[in-house]
Amino acid sequence: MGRSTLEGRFRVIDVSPDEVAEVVRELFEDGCYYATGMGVDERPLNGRFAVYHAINCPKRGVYVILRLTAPEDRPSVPSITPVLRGAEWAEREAHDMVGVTFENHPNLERLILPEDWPDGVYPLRKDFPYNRKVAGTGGTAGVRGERHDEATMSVPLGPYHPLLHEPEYFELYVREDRIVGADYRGFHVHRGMEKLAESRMTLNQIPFLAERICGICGCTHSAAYCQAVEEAAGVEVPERALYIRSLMLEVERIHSHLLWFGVACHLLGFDSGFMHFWRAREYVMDIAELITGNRKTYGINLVGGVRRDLSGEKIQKTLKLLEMAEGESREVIDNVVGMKELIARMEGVGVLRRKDAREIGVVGPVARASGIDTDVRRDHPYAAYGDLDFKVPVYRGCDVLSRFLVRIDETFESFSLVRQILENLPDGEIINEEYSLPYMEFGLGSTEAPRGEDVHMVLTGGENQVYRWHPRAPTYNNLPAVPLMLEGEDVADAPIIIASIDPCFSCTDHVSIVDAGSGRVLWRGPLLEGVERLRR
Amino acid sequence: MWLSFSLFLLVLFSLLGLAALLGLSRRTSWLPALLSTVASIMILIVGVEGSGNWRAGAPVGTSILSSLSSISLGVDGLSAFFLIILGLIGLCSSIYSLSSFKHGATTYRAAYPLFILSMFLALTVRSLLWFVIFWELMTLFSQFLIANGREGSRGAALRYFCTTKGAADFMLLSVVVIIWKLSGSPAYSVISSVLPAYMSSHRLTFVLISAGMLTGLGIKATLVPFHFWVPDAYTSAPGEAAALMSGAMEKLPVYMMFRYLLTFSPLSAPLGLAVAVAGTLTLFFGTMFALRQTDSKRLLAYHSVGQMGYIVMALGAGLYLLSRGYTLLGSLALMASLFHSLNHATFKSLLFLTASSVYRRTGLRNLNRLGGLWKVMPLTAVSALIGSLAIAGVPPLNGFVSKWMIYVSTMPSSTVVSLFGALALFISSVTAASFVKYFTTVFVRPPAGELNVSGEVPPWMTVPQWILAALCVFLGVYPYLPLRAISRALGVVGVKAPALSSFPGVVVPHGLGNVAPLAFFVFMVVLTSILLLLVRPAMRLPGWTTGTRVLRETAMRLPAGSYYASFEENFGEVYGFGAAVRKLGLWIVRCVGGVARAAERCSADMNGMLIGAFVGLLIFVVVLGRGVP
Amino acid sequence: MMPELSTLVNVAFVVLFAPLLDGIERRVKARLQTRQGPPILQSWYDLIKLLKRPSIEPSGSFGWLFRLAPAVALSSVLLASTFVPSLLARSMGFWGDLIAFVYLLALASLFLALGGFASCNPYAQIGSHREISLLMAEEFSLAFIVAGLAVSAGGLAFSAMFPLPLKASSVVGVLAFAVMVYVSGARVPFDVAEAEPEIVEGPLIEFSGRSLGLMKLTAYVRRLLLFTVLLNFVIPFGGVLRSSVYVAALLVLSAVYAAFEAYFGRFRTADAVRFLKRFAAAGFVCWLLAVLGW
Repeated sequence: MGRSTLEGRFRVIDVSPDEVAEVVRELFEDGCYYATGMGVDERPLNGRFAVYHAINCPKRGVYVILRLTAPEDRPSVPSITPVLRGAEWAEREAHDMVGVTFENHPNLERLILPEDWPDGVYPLRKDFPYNRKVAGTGGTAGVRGERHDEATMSVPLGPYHPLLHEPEYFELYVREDRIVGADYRGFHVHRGMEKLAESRMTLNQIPFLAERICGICGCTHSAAYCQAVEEAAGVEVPERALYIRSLMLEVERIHSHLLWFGVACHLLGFDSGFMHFWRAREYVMDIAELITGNRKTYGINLVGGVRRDLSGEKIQKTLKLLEMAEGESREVIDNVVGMKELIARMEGVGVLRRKDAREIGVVGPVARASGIDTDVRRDHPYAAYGDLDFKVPVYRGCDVLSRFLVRIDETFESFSLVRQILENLPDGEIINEEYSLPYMEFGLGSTEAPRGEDVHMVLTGGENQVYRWHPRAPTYNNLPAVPLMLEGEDVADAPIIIASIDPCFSCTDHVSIVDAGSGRVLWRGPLLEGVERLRR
Repeated sequence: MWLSFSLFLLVLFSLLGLAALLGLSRRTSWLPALLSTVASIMILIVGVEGSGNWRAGAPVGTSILSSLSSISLGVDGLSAFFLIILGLIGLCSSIYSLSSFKHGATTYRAAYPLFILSMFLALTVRSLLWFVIFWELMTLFSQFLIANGREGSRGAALRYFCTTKGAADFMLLSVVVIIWKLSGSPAYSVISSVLPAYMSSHRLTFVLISAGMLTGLGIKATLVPFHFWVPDAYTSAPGEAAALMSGAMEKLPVYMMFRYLLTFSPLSAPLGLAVAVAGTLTLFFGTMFALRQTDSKRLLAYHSVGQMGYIVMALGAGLYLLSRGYTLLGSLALMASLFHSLNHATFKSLLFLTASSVYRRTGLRNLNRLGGLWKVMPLTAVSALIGSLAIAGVPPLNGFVSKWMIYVSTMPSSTVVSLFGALALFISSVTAASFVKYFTTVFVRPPAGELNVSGEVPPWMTVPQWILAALCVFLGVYPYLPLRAISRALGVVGVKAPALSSFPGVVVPHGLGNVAPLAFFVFMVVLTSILLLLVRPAMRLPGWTTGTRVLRETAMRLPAGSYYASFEENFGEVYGFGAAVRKLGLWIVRCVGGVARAAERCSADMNGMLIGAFVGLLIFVVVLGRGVP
Repeated sequence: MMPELSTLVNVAFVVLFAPLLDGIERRVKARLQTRQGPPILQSWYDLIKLLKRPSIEPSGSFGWLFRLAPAVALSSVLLASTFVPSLLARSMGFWGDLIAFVYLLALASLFLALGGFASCNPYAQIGSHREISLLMAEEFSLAFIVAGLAVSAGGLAFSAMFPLPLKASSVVGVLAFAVMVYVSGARVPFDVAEAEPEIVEGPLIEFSGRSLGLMKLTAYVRRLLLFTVLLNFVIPFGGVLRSSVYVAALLVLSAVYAAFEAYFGRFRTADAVRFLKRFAAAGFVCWLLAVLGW
């Protein structure tokens, strides 16, 4: 009963520039939302640039991929952002990296590349070698204070701020202790993964690269990538492998949520909670180490299956550790939920209305906390989730507390899922290496990461490589909602609001143009200047 | 003795009169200021002499205009104390105006010396009627000072006129006439011997007269809810005028309150309580409103209101405690009230002068836009810091000592005034907060945009600030001199001042309280200097902004409106109440304004009004003078 | 013993013991969080390290006020320690009473805030104005407690207040004061001004090296002095017994307060102000009882 390619998991449709807006509008009204989009330099193949928009239709269990092309001399397509707000960043990114222009886009500014990157140089084009060095033009990034007047104060939050565990930059506009606006500028953690994968890596090396997109949720990225290639190549993955994959994905979800609970407590000033949550989390790390040999960055996924197997003894030990982890977590969570002042600080704070959530296309716990019933595991079943029994928690509060509650419920669902997997592990192989890779085949793999829907799009290439790889982490879709959530809130609530989307900036910022090998300074951006200063 | 006094009076009158006339000319604008300065010094000398040498209650008579009436002028301990205040503030204000007079209008320059003169006369007359007359004159001249200020001044002047002249003075005048009718003569000596006994037997008259008198005086003393003329008036008046008004003019009603409550009326607990309640309401609401202000002079104006509340509360508390038999606490409270009058005059005028200096150089009063002035105006900054710390009541400055006396006299009593003391303690922290805001928004944190400031103000403007700042320190560290003058002043009104152990600390017996400001001062100066040597910085590096390059430093400063926002939200009931009262006040003003406008239609311009007022008063004097024995 | 000599002993005790108390608090909190925690002398080690390092001034700052702030803050709390009887009962008692004590502590807070503003750093500005908002709210509650205790004791001098007469009003007042001691020591949930995740240490952000060392010592001494006044209200005897009971009580109080701190999350400024506004009712009750003579 090996289920490898789901009939109709995604459908690629070529649309013409005139009808694309209509199609998108119809899809949106049908309950779909914008998942991700990528620009591809297909000039070596057919002399055109292509833009792929992936739209997630959970009700029909399918991703609709709309493909637009533009000729080389006029690389311009109409923007769908006026119709679907969620496409804004994807189009900006395609414009930034590939050089496709989007007509009628409301804000076609640089998204990924730093401000002093020279114009007309597009890193993801095929004629840009991955190790080319580019000189900067003298940056102008910094505290702009554009929206400040005499009664408003600009408060810079980042890139190095104790509340953030990764560098990002929010500029808050504060009036009388309330935030009246926020600007976000991210993509400080650029590492050049897409270019590296396309230029230097083989098919089965990429899962390990994908895993290093993020420290907390690496397994879901490698799984999504492997699924994308498996879809494209029609690989039949053995069932045992699918179960083991799901097992590690759930273990990852538990440790990620427990980490988040700890961070949330710390941000609310309750350090004891932080310590206790992370103590409970240690059992989960031990489980991961027991099964894969690593506490995180498990290195377990390959195209076609998994690398390590589970013995009966390991299963017994894991179940024991699981019981302890679940017991401790429950105790700490019950304590925290009983603390009225912590709950009061989360209730009614950082509200994201359902309408805005749908338009922006937020995913994961953020969406489920705003009343949107979506979960990739149920809507587009992958790995072993088609066989497993779990509930999807949906809350209507739309505030930080709802996101907190959603994650609590998910954690305990995950505990139950891990038990189900371990008790029903089917026999068989753990990897299928008999497959051939077609050329220029499109594949899409998506998983429900701890933070939400994680989508990887792949265009297979020749010679055991990929032609194009576009990972889209869940935080990418959730970040545009943050300025909306911050407006009108007390400054003291900014940290917990930003943290409530469980931001994983490393996931978001995977794209860049740095010579990872030499580490030489290619441009002077704010991040590097700060580092320079610290070194003094 | 009377010979030297009349000579002195002659010199004083001529100085100030000459100053007024010269003020009308455009050329030598500094001359009237100089003459006023000399006059103020003379007033100060008289005050000091009065506190020191002349026997309490031994007035000196002089007959002026003897064919019309006789005005006896004299100085006793109580007037002497207030003359010290007047002389001091007049001195500093006049030195300040050496630089700033040239910017004023002629009527302003003419009215200024006459304003001082009318206050002097109000303090030295020995007759209630003449007191009222000079009070009216004082109001008249101060109105010119306000009207000749900057924007919005005409509106402010009209509101001032309506409130004080219309409502208050009618009341005051009628009360005075009644008192005079009851006692037969307006002279202080006569009234004080006859009235108390009469009023203790005629309760209704007592209540009516006291209500009228205190309302009339209270309006000028900026008591809530009659304070609404203050912010606009002080904002429009130029700095030295505002300093003089809040420093000296506001103390005149206190002077008369002392005289009235302690010599003209019998000692009454309900009356004292009423006064204390009024004072408490004033200190509470005045300061809470001040917390919100984002205009430098308005902030100072509301604080004037608040601090007057302290003075009046201590006065009422003292009265109440004395009538309940707590002699030690009561007399201590009265001492505190007088001491705070002196201290308030010092630091409030200092602060108004600094605000005016800032305005002179930047053209701004908006605290949201000001900032970073310590770089270009260091002298003003330091004196403003001392003034802010003094009004906040930071030990060992003068504000602390008088507030300390207020707490020690009110809190340990098992009466309701103990609560008033508690509120005063709370409001003192609000004052401190407000002045941290004032000081940091003007001088410390960066401004909203580039300010074009040429530099520090001229020396004639910094010298008086420093004189007052030095006084703030001196009066706090060595309070024995003013306390001696105060004891003498209290002696005039028949209150025996408690013997407070002097050097090196102030000790109130029976374990009520003790503090040693001199020791504080020495210790703090020594230890701070040692620590400063320790903390000398090794280098200056750009500030930390979490790694972001700063393109507009001025964007990252805290606007004045954001200070204490959550605190103000939580005490929102106070502000709601204030808004309601303001509506009531404006309604009253509108009614009276209607009457006043009718009167003004008759006299077309200000000068006409001046002449009309003089004529009217002259007639009044002749008519009433006929009836005086 | 001569009052001057015993004052010297008291001040030395305060300076030496205050960081130790902080070390105890850190240790207790760590143990409650199932951590090992630093050694008790850690706060001393940190202070010594800080005092060895030079201070650095931000280039846009108001230089002399920035330098003055830690000096004045520490001087004012040390001044308070000269007349509050700590280890030894005799000190320069006539130098100050309860009002002077309250004001000197407020002076230290004021200069902490002024120093924060002087650095011109945006987080310092936010933290400083929060510090002062809290100060105002604390004084609102404290004012009624002080008035109540003054009535109960019959005066504000230490000769009347140490110890308090045994009455219902004194009991209520002391309990209320104990809560204010907790609040005034900037303990969670009231450490709004120095909220690390939110505003990066608030007013202290630009202080470093010796300046920071002085500021931290000021904070430790403040906490110790607040405990001292609280204990003085209740310890009725003198002599050697007093000193030993005093030191033991300090250790116990530290541990208890630290344990409380481990169980709370942080307030927003508005929440803290609201709590203190309502807590003033306790002070009012104390005052009422005192006026009625109970």
